[in-house]
Amino acid sequence: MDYTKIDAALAAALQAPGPRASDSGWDVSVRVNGTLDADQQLRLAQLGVRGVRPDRTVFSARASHDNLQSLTDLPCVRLVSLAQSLRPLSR
Amino acid sequence: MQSHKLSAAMLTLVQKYKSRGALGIAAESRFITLSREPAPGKAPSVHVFLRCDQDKKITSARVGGIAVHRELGRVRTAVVRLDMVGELSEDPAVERISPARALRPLLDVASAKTHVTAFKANKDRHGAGVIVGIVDSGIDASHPAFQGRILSIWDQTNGTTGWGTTNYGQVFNGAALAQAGTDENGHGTHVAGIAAGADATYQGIADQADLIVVKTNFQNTGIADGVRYVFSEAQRLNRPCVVNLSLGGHWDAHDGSDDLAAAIDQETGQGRLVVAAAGNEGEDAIHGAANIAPGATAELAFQITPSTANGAAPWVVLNGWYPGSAQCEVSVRASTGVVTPPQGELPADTAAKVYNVTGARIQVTTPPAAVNPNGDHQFLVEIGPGPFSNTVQGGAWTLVVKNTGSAPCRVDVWSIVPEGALPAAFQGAAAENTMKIGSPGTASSAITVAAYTTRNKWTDSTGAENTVGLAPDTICGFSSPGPLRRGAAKKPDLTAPGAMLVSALSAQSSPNPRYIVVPGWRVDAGTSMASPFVAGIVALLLEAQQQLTPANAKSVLQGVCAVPGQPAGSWDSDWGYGYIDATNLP
Repeated sequence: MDYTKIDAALAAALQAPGPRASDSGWDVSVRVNGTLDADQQLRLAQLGVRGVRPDRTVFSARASHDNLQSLTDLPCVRLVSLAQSLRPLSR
Repeated sequence: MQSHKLSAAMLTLVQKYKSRGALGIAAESRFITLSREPAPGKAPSVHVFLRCDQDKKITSARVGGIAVHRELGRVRTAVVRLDMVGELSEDPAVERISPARALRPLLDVASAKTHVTAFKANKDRHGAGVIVGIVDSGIDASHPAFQGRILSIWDQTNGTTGWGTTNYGQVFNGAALAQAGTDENGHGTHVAGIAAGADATYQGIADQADLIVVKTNFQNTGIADGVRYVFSEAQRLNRPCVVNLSLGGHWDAHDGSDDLAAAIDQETGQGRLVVAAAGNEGEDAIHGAANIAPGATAELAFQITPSTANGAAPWVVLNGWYPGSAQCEVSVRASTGVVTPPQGELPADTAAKVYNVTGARIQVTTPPAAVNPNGDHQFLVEIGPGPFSNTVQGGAWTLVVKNTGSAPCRVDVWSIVPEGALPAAFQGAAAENTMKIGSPGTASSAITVAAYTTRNKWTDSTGAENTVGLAPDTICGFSSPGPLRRGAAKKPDLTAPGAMLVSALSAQSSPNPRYIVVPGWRVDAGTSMASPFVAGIVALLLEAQQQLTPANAKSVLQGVCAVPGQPAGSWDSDWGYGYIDATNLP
């Protein structure tokens, strides 16, 4: 696992699972460097990254620990961030 | 007749009818509710409010020409023939009789004040041909306001067939829409009604637009996927589209650099626009900040709701940011006085440390700055309960930040608690009432909307008058102020009506009855309501200009906005470029 490619929230979740931890994998966003070639697109898709296309740099994924490790090992991946819950904005 | 019991309007009505018959009250029929078909030879009936001795029954309640709807109570309603008003006034239980008014619906108040109603009529615009995307809690597909105009629903919360390369949720269209078209929360239905509801009384802004709805799981990744789904469908149908996002949080850097904001910015373009709510934390001290000299220490005090109180939080997270060029150490002083060790930047693979102190579990994560897209340091403090509690220890806590670098630095921190819990509130000098707009409102290309009040009173379905403490024509106190951190894009962009707006009530929801105006319609407030108001206006613009870009739309809207009391073109952190006057929209 290349920890230099995961955000603070995912690092916290992996290194010291707390009250909000999940045992069944993580919903994450994946940010890549530059334009993806065909091989890179295929590899990302194989690791569960959704909607991969060459003209985009931010994607979503549901990743197991093993897939997370593989994602961070890919040179094209810049950052993997833990998904967070938002809320409706009515009073 | 006990004339002193009649309101001035009621007395005038009775006298005019007495002197000139139906012709004499023709003018009043615009403002009061008369029966449409009086019985032959009989006087017309008028709907009235009655103030009564609450414990006395009206003896004339069922006399011919009088029909009282409640036996007891301080305020009752009735329908009374105009020639029987005198007899009703003689009843000892009745204290006052006044005619019911044909209220202008609250949504139309908002529409009229902003001149949207006139704009729609003058330009004959209703959003035809445009798709309005709603990524929210779902939609009540059975509501008459949306009949025949929901194209599809992606329910992210159930199923595994998903959409495209997603494998979560399920897409419904055609006959299956009835199955998926539910909204137990009610928020999405209300939002959709403002943007695009069709109704003679409570008409939405783009009442002829079609809808694509995502019943989201509210994960920021799900929301990003939801936006992609709506735009993908719009692309397939070759139609312009605006997506409304009446949702938000404070997990991001508050500068538009986060992944959800980036995902939105990469999806928008010609005929693809996003409108987002600014947030409702204007009155919550969720943002703490300090400017720290080199070698100095800042103490940011914050209060956590006691664990025995309503709204106590099972966890509290502090999301902190400071410049990448700076160096800081972070520690936490619990309400018991226990202090965690100072923790500076740590190698990424060991950046999270847990400290189990009396009554609390405190986790501090301080990775290097290089990981973040904006190049800044982020630190997280996660406070959980101790082994013998389900909620975080309440009381006065302190975040201690020491500047260990050689230059001054600013630290910004946002407190986060689960939905329904009371916020952890920064205190005193630490609390800063700025920069409370979080993602997706921070997305550069999104049109981010603050809220102002157009109406603060309403009559609910029981006949009771309700009032909220919001002054009309002022910015709503709850509306989150900007700007963004690090001098990023000016947010909010503009302001729209956000209190109190009537819109569609989801049949699957169960709101407090005081918020129900009439069956099928409820009142609500928030930047959630302001955002779809603007989304609907954007749909009206797209109807005429299908290739409208986010930058164009912002320019057009800003051109018809004004901040009260400030010169044209002014921007401020509460109003953005101000409230919309649609009169001169193209």
